[in-house]
Amino acid sequence: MTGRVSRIAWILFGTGTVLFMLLPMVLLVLFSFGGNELASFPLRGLTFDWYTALFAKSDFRVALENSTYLSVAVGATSVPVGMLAAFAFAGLKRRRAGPAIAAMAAPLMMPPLVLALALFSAYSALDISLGLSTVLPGQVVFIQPFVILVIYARMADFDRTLLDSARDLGASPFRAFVTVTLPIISPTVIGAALIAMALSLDEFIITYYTIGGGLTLPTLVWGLLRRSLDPSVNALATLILIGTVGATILAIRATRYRG
Amino acid sequence: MNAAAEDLRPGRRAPLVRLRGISKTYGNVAAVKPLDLEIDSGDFYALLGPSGCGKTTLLRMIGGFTEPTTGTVEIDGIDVTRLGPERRPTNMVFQGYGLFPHMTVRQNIAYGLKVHKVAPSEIRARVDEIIALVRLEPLADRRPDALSGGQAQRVALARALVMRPRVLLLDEPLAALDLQLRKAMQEELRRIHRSIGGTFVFVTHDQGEAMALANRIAVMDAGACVQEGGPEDIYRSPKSRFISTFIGDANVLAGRRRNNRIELEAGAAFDDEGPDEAVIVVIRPEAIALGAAASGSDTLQLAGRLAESVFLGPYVRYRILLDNGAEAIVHSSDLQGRRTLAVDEPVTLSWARDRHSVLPG
Repeated sequence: MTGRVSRIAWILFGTGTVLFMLLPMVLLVLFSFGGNELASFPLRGLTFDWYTALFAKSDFRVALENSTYLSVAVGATSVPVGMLAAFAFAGLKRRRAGPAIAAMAAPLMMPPLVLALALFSAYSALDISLGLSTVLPGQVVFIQPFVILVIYARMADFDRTLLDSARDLGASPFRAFVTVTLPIISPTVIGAALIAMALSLDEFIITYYTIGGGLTLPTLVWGLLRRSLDPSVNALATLILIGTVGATILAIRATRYRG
Repeated sequence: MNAAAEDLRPGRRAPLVRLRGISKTYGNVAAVKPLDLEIDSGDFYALLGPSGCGKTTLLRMIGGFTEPTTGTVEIDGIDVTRLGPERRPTNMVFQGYGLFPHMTVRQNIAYGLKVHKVAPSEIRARVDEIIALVRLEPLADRRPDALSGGQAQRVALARALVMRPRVLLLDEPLAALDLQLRKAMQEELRRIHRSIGGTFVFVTHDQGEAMALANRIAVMDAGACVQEGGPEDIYRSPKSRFISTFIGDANVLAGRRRNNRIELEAGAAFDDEGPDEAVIVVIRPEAIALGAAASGSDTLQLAGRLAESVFLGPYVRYRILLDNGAEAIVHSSDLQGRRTLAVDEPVTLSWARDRHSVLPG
């Protein structure tokens, strides 16, 4: 009898924890459609007004453009570099691979704030003016290790005999890569690109410290919150949520697929 | 061991593959010690030996996948030592088959031809021809994950053969298959070899497989080639204890030669010219008969007791305890005799002198 009671208790505890973690996001999405000026209950009707207000803001259009540019640029930079790095790591002997990968993953272990301040200081010292071109390297430093690790995990499982076979049949290493390796790992590469883009879209700390006067969607959220309790912030946050969650779901589906 | 100097085959043309002074060292480990090897056009050649003897390394050096530390590889008179596998007239069937999982059987087989920019119509013709040769027609549009082990092996074979290599290399081709399938594939390989008349070189640790497929075998041990020749020669005249017990079953009887006469510890004695030294006499189990033989100076006899008899189907396997405590194994297809022998019964073993080999012990 006590067995069943403790099981129920555990289920309740688990459900409660998950709800607690999801509740803020659920409320956020809810209030973005709410008719109230203030985020409170009871809700006065459902409306798209806050979305229309958001799209009317010129700041929003600039931020959207910048965020899109950054996430595409981060994806385009980190994926080719990530592939090269992952191949190199996969070719190392087990013993040497460990420390090498740990060194490469160092940015992940650093607090993003420390990374952001370090970049800011470096840019100031070198007298480089801040803007999108200073945000991009900062984001890449932080996001690159994720991409390398995702692709490396796939490459570690990759059957090297396939490449020997391709060479045996006359293919140059480049041709073997394009006709054999790439098609097989493409789901993983696409997944890694989507993860990179989702991370970039969501990135706040490094962006905030290295963008100077510019705007991305996350820094716009910050700006709107500082000025007032503008409910279109909920709409903005909901859009960011859809963007990152959507990209992540696609990425997970892509990387799980074994060709 | 210089295989070339040993070869007295009449009417022999220049060998197709010639390895001279070839060796491979990793750090201080000598995977292959310097050796010479020659393979003729049309051979079905086996590199046979236990794990770690260097046979796969040797095969990979012929194929260009491993660079030799010393020595040269010549194929069809051309020095290919510095050339990669893509530039050698060889193709390899790898141990895991290495089939491209994202391509169908047909696309896998056509891959090499496409890389070499062969015309599409010719590709289609050659792929169809090879699919018919290895009997894969119903599977042509399947993917590798929908194939059984034996089918995948045939695809790997077809993919290599369609390239019409001068030398086909096979790395333990039948290792992953179960017994029945292995026997069937051995027959397939023999048929295909006869049909296209090519030169095949394969690596195996299974002496039965080497004997079933090859017309010439190089037995390897610890990086060196310890004997090379036809299966029958190696079986009848093994050059060392290792070879005699690695290939087939063997009775190894210890003895000593003194004044050109050998005395076996187990009892028999016979004349044999040579230096005074410890020797071993190797006799195959099927060369020994139970029961006293017709007398003659060409037969030898030993006394012992029957320890065990096991019926194995085509023959009976007897274990005899000899007078000096050593054991002898006898294979007899005389199935009647078994019923008249009881355990512990005294027996006489006899064999003809020309059926045994005397080796330094």
